[in-house]
Amino acid sequence: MEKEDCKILVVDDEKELRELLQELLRKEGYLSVEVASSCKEAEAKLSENCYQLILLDVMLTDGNGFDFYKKQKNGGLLSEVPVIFLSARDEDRARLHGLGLGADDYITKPFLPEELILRIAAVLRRTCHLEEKEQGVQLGESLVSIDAGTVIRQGEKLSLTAKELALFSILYRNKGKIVTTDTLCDALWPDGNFGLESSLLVHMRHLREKIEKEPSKPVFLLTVRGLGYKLEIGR
Amino acid sequence: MEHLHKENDEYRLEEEEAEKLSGAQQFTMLLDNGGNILWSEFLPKELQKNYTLQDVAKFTRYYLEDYPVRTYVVPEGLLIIGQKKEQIWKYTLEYDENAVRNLIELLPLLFLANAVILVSVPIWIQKKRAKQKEEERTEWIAGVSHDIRTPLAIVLGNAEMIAATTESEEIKDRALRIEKQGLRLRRLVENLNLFSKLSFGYGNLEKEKIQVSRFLRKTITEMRNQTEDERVQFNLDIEEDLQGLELCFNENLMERALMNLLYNAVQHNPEGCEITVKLYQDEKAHVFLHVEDNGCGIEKAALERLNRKNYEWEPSTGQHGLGLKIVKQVINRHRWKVQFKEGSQGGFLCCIQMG
Repeated sequence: MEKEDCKILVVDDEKELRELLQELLRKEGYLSVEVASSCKEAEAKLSENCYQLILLDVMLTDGNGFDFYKKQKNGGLLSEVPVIFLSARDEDRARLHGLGLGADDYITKPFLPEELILRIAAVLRRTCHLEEKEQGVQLGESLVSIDAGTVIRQGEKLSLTAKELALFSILYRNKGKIVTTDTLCDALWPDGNFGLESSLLVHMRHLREKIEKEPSKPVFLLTVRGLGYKLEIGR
Repeated sequence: MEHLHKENDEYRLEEEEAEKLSGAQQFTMLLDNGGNILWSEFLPKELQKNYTLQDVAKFTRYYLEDYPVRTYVVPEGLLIIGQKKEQIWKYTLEYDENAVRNLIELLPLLFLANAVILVSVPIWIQKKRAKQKEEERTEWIAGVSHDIRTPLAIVLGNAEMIAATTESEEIKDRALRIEKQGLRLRRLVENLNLFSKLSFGYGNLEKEKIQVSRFLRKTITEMRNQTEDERVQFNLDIEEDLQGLELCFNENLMERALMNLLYNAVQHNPEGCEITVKLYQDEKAHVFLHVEDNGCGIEKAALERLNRKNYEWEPSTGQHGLGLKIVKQVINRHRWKVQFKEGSQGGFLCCIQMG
């Protein structure tokens, strides 16, 4: 499924926020975004259309988002649709309650749009296998294609191993930001990562050898001492 | 006895007294010294018999066939007035004289205990009321901060939209400033909410076993990713032996405490500074977490105030110190120790002893 075909429903009683979210999502390439201002409206929309994602506010004028979700989850209108709660309540308890009900994520207001977009993308990646379509990432002389799992450099085509590709994908998704060694290890070795930092180092070295001009003096795949790694793209 | 008259060897009770007796469902009898009934009035059938010494001894102290009775010694023998069953509880008291004497000596103490109860109950009630009031205030603050969040989300969203779409560098810069201040407001609201909850008690502190080094890497990375000013540098220094250390704590609260310390360092050193977070162990195997900067530091007097058990910032400085108050609260809730000091390079140092 492509991004622009993903139907998203935004349920929030605040008109300004609804419009903002709609605009924001459109700008990000989610072209079919619809809005509802209440549980009742949401119910009507859900029974007419099929959505790939619902952004559901917890405090609505005609009811509580948690209750609405609970009611519609089992065999109801929301049994198949992933849901992200948007809430102005930041208590751990409310958060755990929301996630405990089976929601895919719980985002506290106020949020940065960037943060929201990343988390929406993460849910859709999981539920609709929606991958960012990229033309290839140009890093100096190297063109990395995540879809193909290759690096094209000076006319030569090198393929990335599964681990190298996974490593690059995470760093690319968080480009410009540091990703901790712990997060990387968790992603590469989901069954436990005790003592695998040295393995991470090896994969990183190989990845650098394929991408960087001078692997010992990387300019894209940077080490952040004591914390993790970062993909620097802006240079 | 004066109401009982003997006429021709026959006893006769005055009319008025007889009525009283029957009205109260009482009965009466007069026994001679041999235990024979000389006279009786309203006497139940089962009691019409000859009484032995044993019977007399029993009913004098306790009951006569379950009837509570009073006995009076009269010239003729014994006058007995009985009540309906199950009307009166009768018991013979017998105490050791010493015990009674001790009791008298204990009386002032008993009195004192009473006085203490009299004084403490109203205090307890007052405390309960104060607690309730505090609870209401916490609820209220939670409500207000809830109401601030939605408009703030709209502000932040629009600021970022403008920054991302404008061609003008100036407008972009201004939009980013709005965003930055919006984030500051968000932090304030979160801190305010957390502070009122921590002051009130926060219920049970939920702790988990957490790898400290991992927690530190995560929190500092988050902070670094948020800080765009390149003049601010972060260092993380974990003693090799402590890399695998696991401790029990509430990760969310500790993250907030550490973030507050880091934000403080950034905010109070607008010219930039180097912030070092260090995890080490002393010779007694106590684990310490240091958060230190090499910035401008604070005055000695202010440090002293910070280290007081219940510190209040001088109202004149315009600083409420909410961030550091939360640090203290969080550390205290974990029964750890926290101290604020001057850093080795003149900056600000927060020293946390993690058990």
